[in-house]
Amino acid sequence: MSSQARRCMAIVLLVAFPALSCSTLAEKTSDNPKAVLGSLGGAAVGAGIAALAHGNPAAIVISAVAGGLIGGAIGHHLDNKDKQLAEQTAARAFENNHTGQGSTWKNPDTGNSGTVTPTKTYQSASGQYCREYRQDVMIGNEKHQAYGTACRQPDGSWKIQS
Amino acid sequence: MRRTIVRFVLAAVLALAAAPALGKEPAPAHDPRVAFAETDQNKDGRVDREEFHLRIVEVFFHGDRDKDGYMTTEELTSVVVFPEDFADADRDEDGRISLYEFVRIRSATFDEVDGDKDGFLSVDEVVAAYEVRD
Repeated sequence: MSSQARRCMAIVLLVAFPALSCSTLAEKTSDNPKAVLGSLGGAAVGAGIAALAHGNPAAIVISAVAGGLIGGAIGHHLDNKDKQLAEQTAARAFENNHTGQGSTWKNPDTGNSGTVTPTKTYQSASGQYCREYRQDVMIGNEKHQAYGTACRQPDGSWKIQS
Repeated sequence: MRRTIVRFVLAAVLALAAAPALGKEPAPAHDPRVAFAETDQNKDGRVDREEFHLRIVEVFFHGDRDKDGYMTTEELTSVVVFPEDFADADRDEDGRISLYEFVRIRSATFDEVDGDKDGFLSVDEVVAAYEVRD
């Protein structure tokens, strides 16, 4: 491989990996049930976050989700832990996942589960990052699907757009 | 210049090719076909401008570590081997690159790689551009 090729390869590789290195978030779980399914979440978890957040402590942000991730009838069938797991998962997915990459939560106590998948990333006119997402929630044997948009707030949280 | 363009295109098209799902094994970053498949969201066998644009935005989002909407020199340095490639991208010379500036640079390369000028990138065109570097 020529030096030129190596340069290009390095560029590709190093541009390709920011998703790993940018996983610089810690997370905060909201106790507000309303906020639970109002947020979308991701893949990396707990202990992994600290390791991923290496190098730039200033970049570590608190990530949470506000708004109604799952509302209405579906939300009534989920308990607080379901919602908490969904919110944590959603927050991480919004922050870290690539488009099309789903993150799943499952509550062994209720058997309920869900997957949050960012489907599009864009920047609003005001400069906010927003991510459209798809959410699949399994309640018992019933699958529920919903779509939404979450936008990143200055404090690092993600707000579900109504 | 041609090589620079190719680098831009490859970086844009292939960026995230190797970006693994967190906790999963990385995809073969050197395989432009894998990158192409990931960029080709509707799986029609070609990459259109919209898919290309979405890919570029995705790269910027993940590269912007502090999520302030800009890529600083530090962020560029951490994700790009040759940040000098972006010297011309900073049109307003504020020392950082906005998404607009980033997209402008990347998008300009689409036509360069679109050899048959049909408005789409085929896997062969992407692979050919990749191999130009060798």
